Amino acid sequence: MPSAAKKLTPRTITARRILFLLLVGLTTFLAMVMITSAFLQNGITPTELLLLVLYTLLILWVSTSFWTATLGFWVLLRGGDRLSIGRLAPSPSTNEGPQKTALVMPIYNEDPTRVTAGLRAMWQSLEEIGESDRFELFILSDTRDPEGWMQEEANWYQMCLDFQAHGRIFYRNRERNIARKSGNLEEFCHRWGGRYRYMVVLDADSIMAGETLVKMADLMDAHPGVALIQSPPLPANQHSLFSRILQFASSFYGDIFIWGINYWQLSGSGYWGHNAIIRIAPFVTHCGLPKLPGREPFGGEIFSHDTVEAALLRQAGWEVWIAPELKGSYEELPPTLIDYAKRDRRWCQGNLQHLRLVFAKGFSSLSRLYFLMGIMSYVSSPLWFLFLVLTGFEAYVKSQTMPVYFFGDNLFPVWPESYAVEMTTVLLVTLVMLFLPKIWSLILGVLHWRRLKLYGGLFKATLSVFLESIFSMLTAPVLMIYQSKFVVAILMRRSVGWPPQNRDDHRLSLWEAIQAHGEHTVIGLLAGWVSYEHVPGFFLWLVPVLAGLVLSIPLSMVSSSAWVGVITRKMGLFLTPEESKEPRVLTLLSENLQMLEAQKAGRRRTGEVRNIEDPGVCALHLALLPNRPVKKRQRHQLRALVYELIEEGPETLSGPQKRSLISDPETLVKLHTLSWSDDRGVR
Amino acid sequence: MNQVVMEDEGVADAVLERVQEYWRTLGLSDEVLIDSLSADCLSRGRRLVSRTHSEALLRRALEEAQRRFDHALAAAFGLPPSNDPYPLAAARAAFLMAPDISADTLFRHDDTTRQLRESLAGQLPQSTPPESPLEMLPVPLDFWLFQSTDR
Repeated sequence: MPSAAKKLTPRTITARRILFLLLVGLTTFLAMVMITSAFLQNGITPTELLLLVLYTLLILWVSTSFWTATLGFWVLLRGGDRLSIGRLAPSPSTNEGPQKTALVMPIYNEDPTRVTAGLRAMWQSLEEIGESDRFELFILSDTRDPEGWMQEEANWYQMCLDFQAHGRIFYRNRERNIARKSGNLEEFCHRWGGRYRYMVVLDADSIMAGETLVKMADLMDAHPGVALIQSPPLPANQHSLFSRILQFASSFYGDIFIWGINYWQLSGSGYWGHNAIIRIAPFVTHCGLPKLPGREPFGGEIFSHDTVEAALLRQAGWEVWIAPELKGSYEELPPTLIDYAKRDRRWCQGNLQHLRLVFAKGFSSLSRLYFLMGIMSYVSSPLWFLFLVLTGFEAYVKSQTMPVYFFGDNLFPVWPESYAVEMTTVLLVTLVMLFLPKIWSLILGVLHWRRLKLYGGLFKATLSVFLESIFSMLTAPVLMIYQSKFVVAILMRRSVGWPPQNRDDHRLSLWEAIQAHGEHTVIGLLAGWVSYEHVPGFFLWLVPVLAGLVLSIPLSMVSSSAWVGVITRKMGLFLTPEESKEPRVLTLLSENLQMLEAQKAGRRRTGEVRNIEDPGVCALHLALLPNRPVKKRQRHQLRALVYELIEEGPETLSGPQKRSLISDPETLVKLHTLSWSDDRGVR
Repeated sequence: MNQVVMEDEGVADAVLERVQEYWRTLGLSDEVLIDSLSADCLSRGRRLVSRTHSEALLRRALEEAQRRFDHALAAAFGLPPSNDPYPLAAARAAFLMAPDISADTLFRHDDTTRQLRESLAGQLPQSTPPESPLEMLPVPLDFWLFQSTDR
């Protein structure tokens, strides 16, 4: 226990939140005053009124982020926060009930090699510090792809063999994937929840160091009133330029935001869906998610379950924390701008669904604020878009108004009043709020010289910040268009489904880039031409936005390249501490990936490609199948499918049909035999 | 007539080769044992299907190989005869996926079989632990302006 450990009091929580809200409110108010005084000089028009409303909402959003970062900066300048979960005085606890922690990884049609490599790295990391006995590992598969399913099982069993962890590492494939990831976890709690005190929820790309896992469990032991601790996951392990730039940004600027979040949220923090430890008993009691009335995208199963689960825990009086001091928690980013946008599409739907939850009875104002913040993170895009369009329109209208210098009995000309100064101030204030957090991080870097070296030193880190700022400025308009489209599509009730995420490095082809960004280029050129022709003064202001749109195709292609990513790394640009001095758990991940890839390549060389041919994998799959009686009708259907497979080939069968074939023990054995007796064998 | 016999022999050789390959995949390394088991499987297959129907012949021979392998495995593991395919599948998985084990042992019927059984007993696939259920009921949500969730 640290000697200066403090207790958290409700008064401190309230004081901090009031301070934060005051700062945000005051900034928004001042910005509003500035823009209103500019508008009011010539009488306010309906367009200006609309602009005022839009600007207020946007500046509110920007200043929320700015003050979070600034408070975090302030906290870090003072050497951290004494009111973080890691520094609070522990509370007495009884330590009754189950002792173990389950590491649970829900997966859905993910690359089995990457999943296994990550899990092996985490387990090895726990073994290296001699703490694996405190944990059990659960692979909660929702995978539908038959080949992937069998490969997951083979990889799981290999793990058990390699680590002598039979009965400590588990695998389960759900027969029906009801309610996606939250349903997957719910089923785990239903069946095995009583066996564990905590569960650490992981994503397929999560990596957590053994020390971090142990520290999280220890923190939960020390604070029995805490239901959830979220570790801040750092993006790592990707190589494309796009993900390297984002990795750098998250790593370099992330700290101030995380400490800022902790400063004002304290015990009422949120849950990000993975890399978090959860106390199972309250989770089971309070976090069973209902189906929302109506159909998707606003009704049905709750997509972004994490925010809702945290709200339910807080509502029940449990504490939810983020732990800024926890390191060794990693995730991976989408490798390209397009993949990033695709992920956004899913998250956007989940967050917009929370619109209804803002009106749920019983939630605290804080929970409603979080829901609104989640919604705003996507709705801000169409709002910015609208703001730009209306600003352009207003500028055009103004440019068409001919000034009258002499009227009435005035002897001297009456010059038209200009609000350029006010408008420039408003713009500058907005830009300062957007860019100042980057300066805060640089200042902290200078103050922590040794850490700055891991980012390549002062010069390279500053250059990286500069280039990252240019890159984010150029990609922001593209993401704005994407997110605006997503919001409109979702409002028009078009659901996105549950597509798996692409996590592999792959360079975009020209055709892919044209398909994805063709419309952005056209919009950029068109808007540039219209503004240049009709409002040349506005055109100059619009250049940064237009540049991003017009250059979106080459930008997306170049940034998707792992080669360019590696070159920039060699140049010492966008370096992160994880790249400069690789943590052990990430080294283990790389080693496992290499080993598993080599095994896969070996299998390919020997022509042993399909798992169904492998008698061991096939037997394992059979042993793991649930014991279900098959009705006569189903038996006939399965036979018909086998004949279809023989006569027409596997391509004619759908995914669910293939799955049903390998879900039946008798048919599975038949398929195995058939795979050995096909035309490769004899003819 | 001679041509039919030659074709038949060609098919048999190909089938035999494939069955031998299958035995090797099952972990057998003793070539004499492989040859003898494969020949037995082929002859059993021939009794069940037409001589020139190569695919059916191979299928039957492979099924016979599986049956013999399972029989030997069940004997080695001391598994009682049963219609339940799961325990045998688990033993088969443990045996086939364990590193550096030769299936020749299964057909030797000596003391090594017992050692094998003991070493593999702790490696039988255990995909899930015994259930320890908790009730997790959906929390009803009431809304202002919107329809509430089912109770």
